[in-house]
Amino acid sequence: MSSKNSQCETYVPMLDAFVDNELDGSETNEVASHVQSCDDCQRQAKEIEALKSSLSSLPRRKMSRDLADNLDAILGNKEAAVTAPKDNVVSIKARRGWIMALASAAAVVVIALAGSMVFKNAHQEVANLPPEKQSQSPDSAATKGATEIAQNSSASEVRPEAAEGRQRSGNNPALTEIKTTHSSDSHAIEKIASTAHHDSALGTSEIGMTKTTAAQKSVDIAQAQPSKTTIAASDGISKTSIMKERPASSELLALYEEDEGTDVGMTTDEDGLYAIKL
Amino acid sequence: MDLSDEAIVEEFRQTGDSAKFKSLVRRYQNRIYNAAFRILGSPDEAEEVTQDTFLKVHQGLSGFRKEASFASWIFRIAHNLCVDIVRTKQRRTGVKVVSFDPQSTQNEDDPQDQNSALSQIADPLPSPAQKVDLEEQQVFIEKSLMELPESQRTVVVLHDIEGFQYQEIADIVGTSVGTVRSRLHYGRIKLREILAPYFDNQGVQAASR
Repeated sequence: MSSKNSQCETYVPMLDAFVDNELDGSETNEVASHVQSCDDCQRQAKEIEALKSSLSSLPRRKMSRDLADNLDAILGNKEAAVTAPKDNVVSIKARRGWIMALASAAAVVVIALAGSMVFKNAHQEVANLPPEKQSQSPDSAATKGATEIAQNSSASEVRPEAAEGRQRSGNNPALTEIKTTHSSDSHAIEKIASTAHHDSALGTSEIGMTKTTAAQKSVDIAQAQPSKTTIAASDGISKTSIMKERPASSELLALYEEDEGTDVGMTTDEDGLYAIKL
Repeated sequence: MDLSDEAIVEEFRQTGDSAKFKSLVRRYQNRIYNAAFRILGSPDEAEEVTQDTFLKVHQGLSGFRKEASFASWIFRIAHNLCVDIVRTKQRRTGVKVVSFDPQSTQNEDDPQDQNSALSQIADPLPSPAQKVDLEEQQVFIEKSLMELPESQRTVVVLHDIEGFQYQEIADIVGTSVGTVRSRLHYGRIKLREILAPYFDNQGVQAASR
Protein backbone atom coordinates (compact mmCIF):
# COMPACT_ATOMS: atom_id res chain seq x y z
CA MET A 1 0.00 0.00 0.00
CA SER A 2 2.74 2.39 1.01
CA SER A 3 4.68 1.60 -2.14
CA LYS A 4 1.56 2.39 -4.14
CA ASN A 5 1.26 5.74 -2.37
CA SER A 6 4.87 6.57 -3.11
CA GLN A 7 4.20 5.65 -6.73
CA CYS A 8 1.20 7.99 -6.73
CA GLU A 9 3.41 10.78 -5.39
CA THR A 10 5.63 10.21 -8.38
CA TYR A 11 2.92 9.92 -11.01
CA VAL A 12 0.21 12.36 -9.86
CA PRO A 13 2.27 15.42 -10.91
CA MET A 14 2.63 13.74 -14.32
CA LEU A 15 -1.06 13.07 -14.79
CA ASP A 16 -1.83 16.37 -16.47
CA ALA A 17 0.98 15.97 -18.97
CA PHE A 18 -0.11 12.35 -19.43
CA VAL A 19 -3.70 13.39 -20.23
CA ASP A 20 -2.38 16.17 -22.49
CA ASN A 21 -0.14 13.68 -24.29
CA GLU A 22 2.90 15.79 -23.48
CA LEU A 23 5.08 13.04 -22.01
CA ASP A 24 7.75 11.24 -23.96
CA GLY A 25 7.31 7.58 -24.87
CA SER A 26 8.85 5.93 -21.82
CA GLU A 27 7.13 8.28 -19.36
CA THR A 28 3.79 7.71 -21.07
CA ASN A 29 4.15 3.96 -20.70
CA GLU A 30 5.11 4.23 -17.02
CA VAL A 31 2.19 6.50 -16.14
CA ALA A 32 -0.26 4.48 -18.23
CA SER A 33 0.64 1.25 -16.47
CA HIS A 34 0.33 2.94 -13.05
CA VAL A 35 -3.05 4.52 -13.89
CA GLN A 36 -4.41 1.16 -14.97
CA SER A 37 -3.54 -0.31 -11.60
CA CYS A 38 -4.44 2.68 -9.39
CA ASP A 39 -8.08 3.64 -8.95
CA ASP A 40 -7.28 6.98 -7.39
CA CYS A 41 -4.99 8.08 -10.20
CA GLN A 42 -7.48 6.76 -12.72
CA ARG A 43 -10.20 8.90 -11.11
CA GLN A 44 -7.94 11.94 -11.13
CA ALA A 45 -7.11 11.43 -14.79
CA LYS A 46 -10.82 11.32 -15.58
CA GLU A 47 -11.39 14.51 -13.60
CA ILE A 48 -8.68 16.22 -15.56
CA GLU A 49 -10.26 15.09 -18.82
CA ALA A 50 -13.65 16.34 -17.63
CA LEU A 51 -12.22 19.71 -16.61
CA LYS A 52 -10.51 20.09 -19.96
CA SER A 53 -13.74 19.27 -21.70
CA SER A 54 -15.67 21.82 -19.61
CA LEU A 55 -13.12 24.54 -20.25
CA SER A 56 -12.97 23.92 -23.98
CA SER A 57 -16.77 24.01 -24.19
CA LEU A 58 -16.96 27.50 -22.72
CA PRO A 59 -18.56 29.84 -25.24
CA ARG A 60 -16.03 31.68 -27.32
CA ARG A 61 -16.26 35.41 -26.87
CA LYS A 62 -16.09 37.57 -29.95
CA MET A 63 -15.11 41.13 -30.62
CA SER A 64 -18.05 43.51 -30.75
CA ARG A 65 -16.67 44.89 -34.02
CA ASP A 66 -14.49 43.74 -36.83
CA LEU A 67 -11.06 45.27 -36.38
CA ALA A 68 -10.17 44.55 -39.98
CA ASP A 69 -12.93 46.91 -41.15
CA ASN A 70 -11.62 49.66 -38.92
CA LEU A 71 -7.98 48.84 -39.44
CA ASP A 72 -7.17 51.83 -41.64
CA ALA A 73 -8.69 54.21 -39.13
CA ILE A 74 -6.97 52.51 -36.19
CA LEU A 75 -3.58 52.38 -37.85
CA GLY A 76 -4.08 55.86 -39.28
CA ASN A 77 -4.79 57.32 -35.89
CA LYS A 78 -1.85 55.54 -34.41
CA GLU A 79 0.50 56.66 -37.16
CA ALA A 80 -0.79 60.21 -36.90
CA ALA A 81 -0.12 60.12 -33.20
CA VAL A 82 3.38 58.86 -33.84
CA THR A 83 4.25 61.16 -36.73
CA ALA A 84 2.62 64.37 -35.54
CA PRO A 85 5.26 65.25 -32.96
CA LYS A 86 8.02 64.59 -35.46
CA ASP A 87 7.54 68.02 -36.98
CA ASN A 88 8.50 69.68 -33.75
CA VAL A 89 10.30 67.08 -31.71
CA VAL A 90 11.99 64.32 -33.55
CA SER A 91 12.64 61.82 -30.84
CA ILE A 92 13.17 61.16 -27.17
CA LYS A 93 16.71 62.36 -27.66
CA ALA A 94 15.37 65.65 -28.89
CA ARG A 95 12.99 65.78 -25.95
CA ARG A 96 15.89 65.26 -23.61
CA GLY A 97 17.64 68.10 -25.38
CA TRP A 98 14.62 70.27 -24.77
CA ILE A 99 14.68 69.34 -21.10
CA MET A 100 18.35 70.19 -20.96
CA ALA A 101 17.60 73.53 -22.58
CA LEU A 102 14.96 74.26 -19.96
CA ALA A 103 17.31 73.21 -17.20
CA SER A 104 19.97 75.51 -18.60
CA ALA A 105 17.54 78.38 -18.84
CA ALA A 106 16.41 77.82 -15.25
CA ALA A 107 20.03 77.70 -14.09
CA VAL A 108 20.74 80.94 -15.95
CA VAL A 109 17.87 82.74 -14.27
CA VAL A 110 18.82 81.57 -10.80
CA ILE A 111 22.49 82.29 -11.24
CA ALA A 112 21.79 85.63 -12.87
CA LEU A 113 19.71 86.73 -9.91
CA ALA A 114 22.23 85.46 -7.40
CA GLY A 115 25.11 86.90 -9.34
CA SER A 116 23.50 90.29 -9.69
CA MET A 117 23.03 90.46 -5.93
CA VAL A 118 26.47 89.21 -5.04
CA PHE A 119 28.36 91.37 -7.47
CA LYS A 120 26.15 94.39 -7.34
CA ASN A 121 28.42 96.29 -4.97
CA ALA A 122 31.54 95.34 -6.88
CA HIS A 123 29.95 96.37 -10.12
CA GLN A 124 28.93 99.74 -8.77
CA GLU A 125 32.39 100.22 -7.39
CA VAL A 126 33.92 99.60 -10.77
CA ALA A 127 31.45 101.87 -12.47
CA ASN A 128 32.48 104.67 -10.17
CA LEU A 129 36.16 104.29 -10.94
CA PRO A 130 37.77 106.29 -13.74
CA PRO A 131 37.94 104.29 -16.99
CA GLU A 132 41.72 104.07 -16.90
CA LYS A 133 41.65 102.41 -13.51
CA GLN A 134 38.95 100.04 -14.58
CA SER A 135 41.02 98.79 -17.47
CA GLN A 136 44.43 98.89 -15.84
CA SER A 137 44.06 98.08 -12.21
CA PRO A 138 44.55 94.37 -11.59
CA ASP A 139 42.76 94.76 -8.30
CA SER A 140 39.65 96.25 -9.82
CA ALA A 141 36.42 94.67 -8.77
CA ALA A 142 35.50 93.83 -12.34
CA THR A 143 38.64 91.87 -12.99
CA LYS A 144 38.30 90.26 -9.62
CA GLY A 145 34.78 89.22 -10.41
CA ALA A 146 35.73 87.87 -13.79
CA THR A 147 38.61 85.95 -12.27
CA GLU A 148 36.38 84.41 -9.66
CA ILE A 149 33.92 83.38 -12.26
CA ALA A 150 36.65 82.01 -14.43
CA GLN A 151 37.83 79.86 -11.56
CA ASN A 152 34.44 78.29 -11.41
CA SER A 153 34.15 77.94 -15.11
CA SER A 154 34.57 74.71 -16.94
CA ALA A 155 34.97 76.59 -20.22
CA SER A 156 38.44 77.80 -19.49
CA GLU A 157 38.95 79.34 -22.88
CA VAL A 158 36.31 81.89 -22.09
CA ARG A 159 38.15 83.35 -19.18
CA PRO A 160 40.83 85.52 -20.75
CA GLU A 161 38.52 87.01 -23.28
CA ALA A 162 35.84 87.48 -20.70
CA ALA A 163 38.20 89.46 -18.61
CA GLU A 164 39.45 91.23 -21.68
CA GLY A 165 35.97 92.04 -22.78
CA ARG A 166 35.28 93.41 -19.38
CA GLN A 167 38.37 95.58 -19.54
CA ARG A 168 37.57 96.76 -23.03
CA SER A 169 34.22 97.87 -21.82
CA GLY A 170 35.78 100.28 -19.40
CA ASN A 171 34.05 103.31 -20.79
CA ASN A 172 30.73 101.54 -20.82
CA PRO A 173 30.44 99.30 -17.79
CA ALA A 174 27.37 97.53 -18.98
CA LEU A 175 28.11 97.27 -22.64
CA THR A 176 28.99 93.62 -22.53
CA GLU A 177 25.55 92.84 -21.28
CA ILE A 178 24.21 90.07 -23.47
CA LYS A 179 20.77 91.19 -22.66
CA THR A 180 20.94 92.81 -26.07
CA THR A 181 18.78 89.84 -26.97
CA HIS A 182 15.89 92.13 -26.28
CA SER A 183 16.99 94.67 -28.86
CA SER A 184 14.92 94.28 -31.94
CA ASP A 185 16.34 96.97 -34.17
CA SER A 186 19.76 95.50 -34.61
CA HIS A 187 20.22 92.43 -36.79
CA ALA A 188 23.74 91.95 -35.58
CA ILE A 189 22.64 91.94 -31.99
CA GLU A 190 19.84 89.55 -32.70
CA LYS A 191 22.25 87.27 -34.44
CA ILE A 192 24.57 87.29 -31.51
CA ALA A 193 21.76 86.66 -29.11
CA SER A 194 20.52 83.86 -31.27
CA THR A 195 23.93 82.28 -31.40
CA ALA A 196 24.38 82.59 -27.68
CA HIS A 197 20.96 81.15 -27.03
CA HIS A 198 21.61 78.30 -29.39
CA ASP A 199 24.75 77.38 -27.59
CA SER A 200 23.43 77.73 -24.09
CA ALA A 201 20.39 75.67 -24.87
CA LEU A 202 21.91 72.87 -26.82
CA GLY A 203 25.44 72.73 -25.68
CA THR A 204 27.87 72.32 -28.49
CA SER A 205 31.49 71.87 -27.60
CA GLU A 206 32.14 75.29 -29.01
CA ILE A 207 30.02 77.07 -26.50
CA GLY A 208 32.84 78.83 -24.81
CA MET A 209 34.30 80.15 -28.02
CA THR A 210 30.97 81.05 -29.50
CA LYS A 211 29.84 82.91 -26.48
CA THR A 212 33.14 84.65 -26.24
CA THR A 213 32.74 85.79 -29.80
CA ALA A 214 29.26 86.93 -28.95
CA ALA A 215 30.63 88.87 -26.05
CA GLN A 216 33.24 90.51 -28.26
CA LYS A 217 30.66 91.39 -30.84
CA SER A 218 28.40 92.82 -28.25
CA VAL A 219 31.27 94.96 -27.06
CA ASP A 220 31.78 96.32 -30.52
CA ILE A 221 28.11 96.85 -31.05
CA ALA A 222 27.71 98.46 -27.73
CA GLN A 223 30.52 100.81 -28.51
CA ALA A 224 28.84 101.70 -31.75
CA GLN A 225 25.46 102.04 -30.10
CA PRO A 226 25.86 103.50 -26.66
CA SER A 227 22.12 103.91 -26.30
CA LYS A 228 21.70 100.14 -26.30
CA THR A 229 24.24 99.69 -23.60
CA THR A 230 22.51 102.28 -21.53
CA ILE A 231 19.30 100.28 -21.78
CA ALA A 232 21.13 97.15 -20.90
CA ALA A 233 22.76 98.82 -17.96
CA SER A 234 19.43 100.01 -16.69
CA ASP A 235 18.30 96.42 -16.54
CA GLY A 236 20.57 96.06 -13.58
CA ILE A 237 22.00 92.75 -14.68
CA SER A 238 25.74 92.86 -14.69
CA LYS A 239 28.07 91.18 -17.06
CA THR A 240 29.32 89.05 -14.25
CA SER A 241 25.94 87.47 -13.90
CA ILE A 242 25.92 86.61 -17.55
CA MET A 243 29.44 85.32 -17.43
CA LYS A 244 28.52 83.10 -14.54
CA GLU A 245 25.82 81.60 -16.72
CA ARG A 246 28.44 79.94 -18.84
CA PRO A 247 29.85 77.44 -16.39
CA ALA A 248 26.40 76.31 -15.36
CA SER A 249 25.36 75.79 -18.94
CA SER A 250 28.65 74.27 -19.87
CA GLU A 251 28.51 71.73 -17.08
CA LEU A 252 25.04 70.70 -17.97
CA LEU A 253 25.83 70.63 -21.63
CA ALA A 254 29.02 68.69 -21.08
CA LEU A 255 26.95 66.04 -19.32
CA TYR A 256 24.49 66.12 -22.18
CA GLU A 257 27.25 65.73 -24.72
CA GLU A 258 28.75 62.81 -22.89
CA ASP A 259 25.43 61.08 -23.13
CA GLU A 260 24.41 62.05 -26.62
CA GLY A 261 27.64 62.60 -28.45
CA THR A 262 25.81 64.50 -31.15
CA ASP A 263 25.43 68.06 -32.18
CA VAL A 264 21.89 69.32 -32.46
CA GLY A 265 20.25 72.45 -33.74
CA MET A 266 17.37 74.43 -32.41
CA THR A 267 14.80 76.50 -34.19
CA THR A 268 11.66 78.25 -33.10
CA ASP A 269 8.30 77.55 -34.65
CA GLU A 270 5.36 79.89 -35.15
CA ASP A 271 4.08 79.39 -31.65
CA GLY A 272 7.40 80.22 -30.13
CA LEU A 273 8.02 76.61 -29.19
CA TYR A 274 11.45 75.23 -29.72
CA ALA A 275 11.88 72.47 -32.23
CA ILE A 276 14.99 70.41 -31.86
CA LYS A 277 16.31 68.59 -34.87
CA LEU A 278 18.98 65.95 -34.89
CA MET B 1 -6.36 26.03 -49.74
CA ASP B 2 -5.71 28.68 -47.14
CA LEU B 3 -2.27 30.13 -46.97
CA SER B 4 -0.33 29.65 -43.76
CA ASP B 5 0.07 32.62 -41.43
CA GLU B 6 3.75 32.79 -42.24
CA ALA B 7 3.06 32.86 -45.98
CA ILE B 8 0.61 35.71 -45.53
CA VAL B 9 3.13 37.60 -43.43
CA GLU B 10 5.73 37.14 -46.15
CA GLU B 11 3.35 38.39 -48.84
CA PHE B 12 2.43 41.38 -46.75
CA ARG B 13 6.11 42.18 -46.25
CA GLN B 14 6.77 42.00 -49.96
CA THR B 15 3.71 43.80 -51.27
CA GLY B 16 2.54 45.93 -48.36
CA ASP B 17 -0.97 44.90 -49.35
CA SER B 18 -3.22 45.84 -46.46
CA ALA B 19 -5.66 43.11 -47.48
CA LYS B 20 -3.05 40.57 -46.39
CA PHE B 21 -2.76 42.15 -42.99
CA LYS B 22 -6.52 42.30 -42.69
CA SER B 23 -6.73 38.59 -43.34
CA LEU B 24 -4.40 38.03 -40.38
CA VAL B 25 -6.56 40.29 -38.27
CA ARG B 26 -9.67 38.33 -39.18
CA ARG B 27 -7.95 35.07 -38.36
CA TYR B 28 -6.79 36.08 -34.94
CA GLN B 29 -8.91 38.89 -33.55
CA ASN B 30 -11.50 36.67 -31.90
CA ARG B 31 -8.92 34.20 -30.61
CA ILE B 32 -6.91 37.01 -29.06
CA TYR B 33 -10.04 38.63 -27.70
CA ASN B 34 -11.35 35.39 -26.19
CA ALA B 35 -8.04 34.57 -24.52
CA ALA B 36 -7.62 38.11 -23.22
CA PHE B 37 -11.16 38.07 -21.89
CA ARG B 38 -10.56 34.79 -20.07
CA ILE B 39 -7.33 36.08 -18.60
CA LEU B 40 -8.52 39.57 -17.67
CA GLY B 41 -12.22 38.96 -17.12
CA SER B 42 -13.16 42.28 -18.67
CA PRO B 43 -14.61 42.76 -22.17
CA ASP B 44 -13.33 46.33 -22.39
CA GLU B 45 -9.79 45.41 -21.41
CA ALA B 46 -9.88 42.41 -23.73
CA GLU B 47 -10.90 44.63 -26.62
CA GLU B 48 -8.17 47.11 -25.77
CA VAL B 49 -5.61 44.32 -25.68
CA THR B 50 -6.82 42.95 -29.01
CA GLN B 51 -6.61 46.30 -30.76
CA ASP B 52 -3.20 47.11 -29.27
CA THR B 53 -1.94 43.68 -30.22
CA PHE B 54 -2.63 44.29 -33.90
CA LEU B 55 -1.11 47.75 -33.72
CA LYS B 56 2.04 46.22 -32.31
CA VAL B 57 1.98 43.44 -34.84
CA HIS B 58 1.65 45.98 -37.65
CA GLN B 59 4.55 48.00 -36.30
CA GLY B 60 6.74 45.00 -35.58
CA LEU B 61 5.96 42.62 -38.36
CA SER B 62 9.42 43.17 -39.80
CA GLY B 63 10.79 41.84 -36.52
CA PHE B 64 8.99 38.52 -36.84
CA ARG B 65 11.78 36.02 -37.45
CA LYS B 66 9.83 32.80 -37.76
CA GLU B 67 11.74 31.35 -34.80
CA ALA B 68 8.33 30.65 -33.33
CA SER B 69 5.03 30.26 -35.12
CA PHE B 70 3.13 33.40 -35.99
CA ALA B 71 0.40 32.30 -33.59
CA SER B 72 2.88 32.05 -30.72
CA TRP B 73 4.36 35.41 -31.65
CA ILE B 74 1.06 37.26 -31.76
CA PHE B 75 -0.18 35.59 -28.56
CA ARG B 76 3.04 36.56 -26.88
CA ILE B 77 2.37 40.19 -27.74
CA ALA B 78 -1.18 39.86 -26.45
CA HIS B 79 0.02 38.11 -23.29
CA ASN B 80 2.50 40.90 -22.55
CA LEU B 81 -0.27 43.45 -22.91
CA CYS B 82 -2.45 41.43 -20.52
CA VAL B 83 0.38 41.27 -18.01
CA ASP B 84 0.79 45.04 -18.25
CA ILE B 85 -2.87 45.52 -17.42
CA VAL B 86 -2.76 43.06 -14.52
CA ARG B 87 0.33 44.75 -13.09
CA THR B 88 -1.23 48.17 -13.48
CA LYS B 89 -4.24 46.95 -11.51
CA GLN B 90 -1.97 45.50 -8.85
CA ARG B 91 -0.07 48.75 -8.53
CA ARG B 92 -3.31 50.70 -8.34
CA THR B 93 -4.86 48.52 -5.67
CA GLY B 94 -1.66 47.49 -3.94
CA VAL B 95 -2.84 43.89 -3.78
CA LYS B 96 -3.00 40.93 -6.08
CA VAL B 97 -6.28 41.40 -7.85
CA VAL B 98 -6.13 38.14 -9.67
CA SER B 99 -6.62 35.88 -6.69
CA PHE B 100 -8.66 36.00 -3.53
CA ASP B 101 -6.59 33.21 -2.05
CA PRO B 102 -3.82 34.78 0.06
CA GLN B 103 -1.90 31.52 0.14
CA SER B 104 -1.70 31.43 -3.61
CA THR B 105 0.45 34.56 -3.58
CA GLN B 106 3.07 32.87 -1.41
CA ASN B 107 3.97 30.08 -3.73
CA GLU B 108 1.55 29.28 -6.43
CA ASP B 109 3.34 26.06 -7.38
CA ASP B 110 3.40 24.69 -3.86
CA PRO B 111 0.87 21.90 -3.46
CA GLN B 112 0.44 22.87 0.17
CA ASP B 113 -1.05 26.13 -1.05
CA GLN B 114 -3.75 24.44 -3.03
CA ASN B 115 -6.47 24.91 -0.42
CA SER B 116 -9.97 25.52 -1.50
CA ALA B 117 -10.72 29.11 -2.37
CA LEU B 118 -14.44 28.49 -2.50
CA SER B 119 -15.11 30.23 0.80
CA GLN B 120 -13.33 33.30 -0.45
CA ILE B 121 -15.27 33.82 -3.62
CA ALA B 122 -17.00 37.18 -3.44
CA ASP B 123 -20.02 35.93 -5.35
CA PRO B 124 -20.34 32.34 -4.11
CA LEU B 125 -21.47 29.48 -6.25
CA PRO B 126 -24.85 27.92 -5.53
CA SER B 127 -24.99 24.86 -3.35
CA PRO B 128 -24.28 21.56 -5.13
CA ALA B 129 -27.77 20.42 -4.32
CA GLN B 130 -29.19 23.11 -6.50
CA LYS B 131 -29.93 22.19 -10.05
CA VAL B 132 -28.09 24.36 -12.50
CA ASP B 133 -28.53 24.79 -16.20
CA LEU B 134 -25.77 24.78 -18.75
CA GLU B 135 -25.42 28.53 -18.83
CA GLU B 136 -25.00 28.64 -15.07
CA GLN B 137 -22.42 25.88 -15.24
CA GLN B 138 -20.41 27.96 -17.63
CA VAL B 139 -20.65 30.92 -15.31
CA PHE B 140 -19.32 28.75 -12.47
CA ILE B 141 -16.40 27.65 -14.53
CA GLU B 142 -15.64 31.19 -15.64
CA LYS B 143 -15.73 32.40 -12.04
CA SER B 144 -13.57 29.52 -10.90
CA LEU B 145 -11.07 30.38 -13.60
CA MET B 146 -10.84 33.89 -12.26
CA GLU B 147 -9.94 32.47 -8.87
CA LEU B 148 -6.60 31.26 -10.15
CA PRO B 149 -3.44 33.33 -9.95
CA GLU B 150 -2.88 35.07 -13.27
CA SER B 151 0.12 32.94 -14.21
CA GLN B 152 -1.81 29.69 -13.72
CA ARG B 153 -4.93 31.03 -15.38
CA THR B 154 -2.96 32.13 -18.43
CA VAL B 155 -1.51 28.67 -18.91
CA VAL B 156 -4.89 26.99 -18.44
CA VAL B 157 -6.52 29.36 -20.93
CA LEU B 158 -3.77 28.93 -23.51
CA HIS B 159 -3.82 25.14 -23.22
CA ASP B 160 -7.36 24.08 -22.45
CA ILE B 161 -9.20 26.86 -24.27
CA GLU B 162 -6.85 27.96 -27.04
CA GLY B 163 -5.27 24.57 -27.62
CA PHE B 164 -1.59 25.48 -27.55
CA GLN B 165 1.04 22.86 -26.78
CA TYR B 166 3.36 23.15 -23.79
CA GLN B 167 6.31 24.36 -25.84
CA GLU B 168 4.19 27.00 -27.57
CA ILE B 169 2.90 28.22 -24.20
CA ALA B 170 6.46 28.38 -22.92
CA ASP B 171 7.31 30.58 -25.92
CA ILE B 172 4.29 32.78 -25.36
CA VAL B 173 4.75 33.42 -21.67
CA GLY B 174 8.52 33.35 -21.82
CA THR B 175 9.21 30.49 -19.45
CA SER B 176 10.28 26.84 -19.51
CA VAL B 177 8.17 23.85 -20.45
CA GLY B 178 8.65 22.53 -16.90
CA THR B 179 7.13 25.70 -15.46
CA VAL B 180 4.22 25.49 -17.87
CA ARG B 181 3.63 21.90 -16.80
CA SER B 182 3.75 22.85 -13.13
CA ARG B 183 1.42 25.83 -13.50
CA LEU B 184 -1.05 23.80 -15.47
CA HIS B 185 -0.97 20.99 -12.91
CA TYR B 186 -1.60 23.22 -9.89
CA GLY B 187 -4.05 25.41 -11.73
CA ARG B 188 -6.16 22.40 -12.60
CA ILE B 189 -5.93 21.04 -9.06
CA LYS B 190 -7.36 24.30 -7.76
CA LEU B 191 -10.10 24.35 -10.38
CA ARG B 192 -11.06 20.78 -9.58
CA GLU B 193 -11.20 21.68 -5.91
CA ILE B 194 -13.47 24.62 -6.51
CA LEU B 195 -15.71 22.73 -8.91
CA ALA B 196 -15.60 19.36 -7.14
CA PRO B 197 -19.12 19.64 -5.69
CA TYR B 198 -20.48 20.13 -9.21
CA PHE B 199 -18.41 17.48 -10.89
CA ASP B 200 -18.97 13.89 -11.60
CA ASN B 201 -16.65 11.84 -13.71
CA GLN B 202 -18.40 13.07 -16.84
CA GLY B 203 -17.91 16.73 -16.04
CA VAL B 204 -20.09 19.39 -14.51
CA GLN B 205 -23.51 18.09 -13.50
CA ALA B 206 -26.10 18.46 -16.19
CA ALA B 207 -29.19 20.42 -15.26
CA SER B 208 -31.45 17.67 -16.48
CA ARG B 209 -30.10 15.14 -14.04
